[in-house]
Amino acid sequence: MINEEEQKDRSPTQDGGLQGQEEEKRESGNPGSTGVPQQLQSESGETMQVGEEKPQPETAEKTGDPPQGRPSRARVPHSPHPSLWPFVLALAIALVCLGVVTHPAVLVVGALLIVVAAVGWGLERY
Amino acid sequence: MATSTIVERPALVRQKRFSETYIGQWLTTTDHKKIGIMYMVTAFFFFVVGGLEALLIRTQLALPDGKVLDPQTYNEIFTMHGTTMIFLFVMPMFTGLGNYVVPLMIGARDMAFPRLNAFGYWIVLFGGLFLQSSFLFHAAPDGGWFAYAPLTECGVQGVNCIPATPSINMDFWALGVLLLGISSIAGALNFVVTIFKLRAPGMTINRMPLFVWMTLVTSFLLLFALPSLTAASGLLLLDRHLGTHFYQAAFNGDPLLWQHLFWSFGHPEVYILILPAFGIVSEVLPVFSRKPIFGYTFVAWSGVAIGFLSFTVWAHHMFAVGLPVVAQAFFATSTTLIAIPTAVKIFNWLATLYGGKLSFKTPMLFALGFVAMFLIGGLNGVALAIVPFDYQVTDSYFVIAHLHYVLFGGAVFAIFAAIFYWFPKMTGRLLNERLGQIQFWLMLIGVNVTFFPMHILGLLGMPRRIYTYAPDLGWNELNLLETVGAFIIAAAILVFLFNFVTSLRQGQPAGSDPWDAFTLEWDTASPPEPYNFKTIPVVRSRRPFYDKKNPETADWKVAVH
Repeated sequence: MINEEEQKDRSPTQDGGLQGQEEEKRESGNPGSTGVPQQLQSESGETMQVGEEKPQPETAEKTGDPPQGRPSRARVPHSPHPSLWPFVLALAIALVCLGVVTHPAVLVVGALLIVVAAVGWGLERY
Repeated sequence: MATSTIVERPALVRQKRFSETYIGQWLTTTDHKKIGIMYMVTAFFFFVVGGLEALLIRTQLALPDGKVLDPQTYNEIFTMHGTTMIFLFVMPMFTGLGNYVVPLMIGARDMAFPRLNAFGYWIVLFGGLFLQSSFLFHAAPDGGWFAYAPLTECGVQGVNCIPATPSINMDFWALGVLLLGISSIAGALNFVVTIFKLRAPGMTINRMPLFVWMTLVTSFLLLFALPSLTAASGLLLLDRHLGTHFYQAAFNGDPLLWQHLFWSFGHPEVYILILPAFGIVSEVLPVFSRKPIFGYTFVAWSGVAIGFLSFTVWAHHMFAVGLPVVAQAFFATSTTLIAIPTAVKIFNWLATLYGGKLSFKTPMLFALGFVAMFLIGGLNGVALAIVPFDYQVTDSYFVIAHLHYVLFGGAVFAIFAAIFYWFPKMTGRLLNERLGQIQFWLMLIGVNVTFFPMHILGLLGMPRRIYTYAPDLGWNELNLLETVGAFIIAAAILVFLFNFVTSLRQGQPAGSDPWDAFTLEWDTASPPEPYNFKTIPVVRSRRPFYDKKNPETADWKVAVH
């Protein structure tokens, strides 16, 4: 599950992201309910008419078809924040292993760095 | 008269954050596409390292009484070749491909846990460097990639055990594998949650692209198989350093415990290495046949069946250790059984090709090469499931032939199919087609020249892991031929590297959909924006992008998907 922090990363107030995606799922209406022909725009800029005909609601129900999507409220959807802590934590764990086979001092440095990285990761604010 | 002094204040310029510098962008990224690319570049670097180790092995064995390497170095080289290729090339390469492609294929904006994703990559990098750094300490692992205890026991002199591998060589191996295991678990968890929770509206489980399916099954295999290896490595370290005797018969330990623990990871591992390849081929063949995959449901669920059965076959690696007859019968049967879902896939791929408008572009060639090579590897694998035959050829070059047809002819061909197929999406440029075709044919010839004679050498009795051989055993010509084949493969890889570098700079622009493909990743720019999809797409069939491009003949209009 996406934790609170992750959801915050993608909060609608920050323009979309994954939570926006969840919301789109909830908010999107029935494909045929508006009767308006859908226009789909690809990221590459092509525009395409999906078709004039209105899918029959009963067919959609029968086939389990999803509701047609609605453009996101987001102008530029938000991406996850960068973080250096994954790098530091991985380096620290590797140092501990290196310390096991080389010198205890390396192990101690690695262990301290693990604590720093874990705390840094946990307290990181966005 | 009032006067005032105007003080010029310097304009406030925001200082660039570290994460906005070029290096900082890569060190701090949590974007699944960048992480995917880093995985793939790292994996390819280790592929080159493992390949150079393979060339050293083949050079040593090219002629009888070879003296290119000394025996200890030879042990280290073949151990590191296997370890590098499995843990540092194929696994991270598939994780990288999955990282890049899976969120795009399911219509998500990123992986579920972006920072965990970055952590998984960095652990692979540092774990790989840690393992390779063992060469700098003149202590590279030397007990084979399977690290059989009790031959790898006892790291400390004076501890109450029989010294077998007294230096720190196998400590590097055990710790390196533990590190890489952390990464695999992190990646697998991330894939499972991403695939279950972040699919676009309408993308039901039975509409997922087959590469996503196979990544999901592989992730579950990793989650269930890796703890066994972690436990085995932990016990080995305890034996080596703290005087426990889990694997030493002389101290009431059980030497077979290692083999059971290792292979109950090791055989699912084979499918961890090949199921994503099945997924890639299941994506490439339909696009270049201009047809939907034949028997989608069977292809998907046969992958699940393979995943399940892969946990029931491990002791076929141990027929020669003296298992009870009932156990031998069980594992022979289960091993034969696993051929059925595998054959289901092959027949479905052939049926997909049948009647299609085939286009023999490089991704298609590699996918077809995969089917042919994997078929050979699968068939001689079934031969090895027959216990009396296995007695004859166990630990011989026949087994080396089998595993290389599966892992090189299979996994590596699929990896190149994937690289040629998705390179335009990742870079916006096409790889050169002519160079791609040259590379394919060189590789096909090289693989068969290298690995097919190993079947014959195995039947002639040449043991695996052998340092050198006497000139009067009748093995000379075939060994020389294999070495020539290995260098042909190396030439193919050089062609690829040249193609990669030149195409990256001046390759033909690809556009967003160069293959007229079917799945959602092609509905983004090449390369995609950081957020992937501005509007989350809605899926109505198994080929959503095909539907969008062909509204009149959309799948959801003509069939229930």
